[in-house]
Amino acid sequence: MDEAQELAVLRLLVEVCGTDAIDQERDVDLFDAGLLDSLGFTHLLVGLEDDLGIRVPPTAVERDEVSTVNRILTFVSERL
Amino acid sequence: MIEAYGSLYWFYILGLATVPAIVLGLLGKRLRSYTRVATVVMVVLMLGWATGQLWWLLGFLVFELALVKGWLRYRVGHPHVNPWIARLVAAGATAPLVVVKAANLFPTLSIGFLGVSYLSFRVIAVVLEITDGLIKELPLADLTFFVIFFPTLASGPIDRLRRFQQDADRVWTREEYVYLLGRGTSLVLLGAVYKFVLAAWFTTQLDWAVGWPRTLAYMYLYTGRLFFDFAGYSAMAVGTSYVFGIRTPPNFRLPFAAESIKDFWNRWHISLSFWFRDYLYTRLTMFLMRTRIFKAHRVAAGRTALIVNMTLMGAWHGFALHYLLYGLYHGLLLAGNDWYERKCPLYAHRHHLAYRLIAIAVTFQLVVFGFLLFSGHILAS
Repeated sequence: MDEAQELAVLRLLVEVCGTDAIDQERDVDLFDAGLLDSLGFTHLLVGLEDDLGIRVPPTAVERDEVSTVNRILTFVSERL
Repeated sequence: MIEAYGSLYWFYILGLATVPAIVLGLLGKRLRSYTRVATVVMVVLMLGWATGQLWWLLGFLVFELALVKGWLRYRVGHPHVNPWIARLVAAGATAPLVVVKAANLFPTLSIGFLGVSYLSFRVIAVVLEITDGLIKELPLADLTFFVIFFPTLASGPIDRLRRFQQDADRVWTREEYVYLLGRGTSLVLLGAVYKFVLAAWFTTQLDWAVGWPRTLAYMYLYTGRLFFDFAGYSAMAVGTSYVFGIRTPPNFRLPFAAESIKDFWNRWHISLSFWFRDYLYTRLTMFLMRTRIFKAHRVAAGRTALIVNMTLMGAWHGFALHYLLYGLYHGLLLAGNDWYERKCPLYAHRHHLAYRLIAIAVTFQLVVFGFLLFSGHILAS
C-alpha cells in the first residue's frame, strides 16, 4: 500500500467515525470507543469499494478484522 | 404434537433423546449421524402426525432446498450475476414466509408450521451468502439438518450455516464434550427457572393490570414476562444444542443493562437483530448510499435504512398495526440515537458512572414503552 492509498483510507475513516482523532491512537478498538457501529461499518465497506475499488460482501468480514485503525490498514493492504 | 420446552412430557422425551448423544460424546465419538436421527424423530413429534404441519414443512423444504441448490449451481457457473436475478432469488426464498404471515390475517386459513419464520431466516441467509460467493458447495443433507436442527426449530436462535457446519462436522474430545455437556445442562436449568418460575409469576400478575394507571404496571409486568419467557426458551434451546455438540449462539446478554437503544439491540434477541443487521440493514444501506438522493448524504442513508429495517422487523412479528408501530418506534429511536451520538456534546461524557446509570435508566424506560406498544394493550383498550 502506498502513501496515497493509506491517506485515502485514513480520510475515509475520519468521514466514517466523524472525528479526526482516530489517527493518533491506531490500536484503539473503534467499536468499544463508540466510534464505529453498524452504520459506520457499512459506510466503511461502501467507501472501500468506491474510493479504493475493494469489494467486500458484508458477511465476508468479521468485525474483529476491522476493529482498529491498524487492523483496517492491514485488511486493506491484503486486498489491494 | 408436543410443545418444545413446554411440558414435563417434552422434557421426558428430550431426556431419552439425549442419552445416546451423551454416551457418544463421553466416548469422544462423532455426534453428527445420531443428531440427524434424533432431529427427524423430534421434528415429527413436535409437529405431530395429525395436524398437517408435517406436510407444510415437507413442501417448504422441497421448495427452498431446490431453490438453494439451483441457485448454488447457477452461481458457481456465473462469476458475475445480474443483481436483479439475485434479488429475485432472495424474494423467492422469502415468499413462503410472506404467504404464511399474510394468511395469519385470516383466522380460518390454517397454513404454515411451527418455526416457519426461523427456518426461513436460515434459508434466506444461505441464499445471500451464495450470492456473495461465500458458500461454494453445500451437500443437501448438511443444508437440511442446518435448517431443521430440532433444538432450535420452534423459535431459534438463528444460527449461521458456516458456523453451524464447523460444529456439526467436528469430533469433540471427551474433555471438550464434558464442558459442552456441563454448560448445556446448566443453561437448560437456568432457562427452566426463567420460564417456569419467573415468567409464570409475571403471567399471574398480569390479570389485574387493567385500565389506567394500571397500564403502567402492565407495561413492566408484560416486559418481565416477555423477557423471562423468551430468554428462558432461548437458554433451553441453546443448552440442548450444546448437548448435541452444536454451540448455538445466545439470544440475550443482560439486555436491561443496555446504555443506549443501539446497545440494547446488541443484547436483546441477538440472533434476530444480527440477522436483520447483516442480511437486510447493511445491504439496504449500501444500496441507498449509491443512489442519487443519498450519494452525498451517507449518514442519512444509514438512518433511513435503520427505520426501514426496524419497521420490517416489527412487521415480521405479524402484519397487525401494533407490531408495525413497535418496529417504527425502534427505527426512529435508533436513528435518533445515531444523531445524538454524532451531534450531541453530552455524549462525550459517556464513560462517567453517573452518565451510564442515567443512560441505563432512560434506555430501560424507552424499551418497556416499546414493549407496551408491542403488546397491543394500548390499541386494544
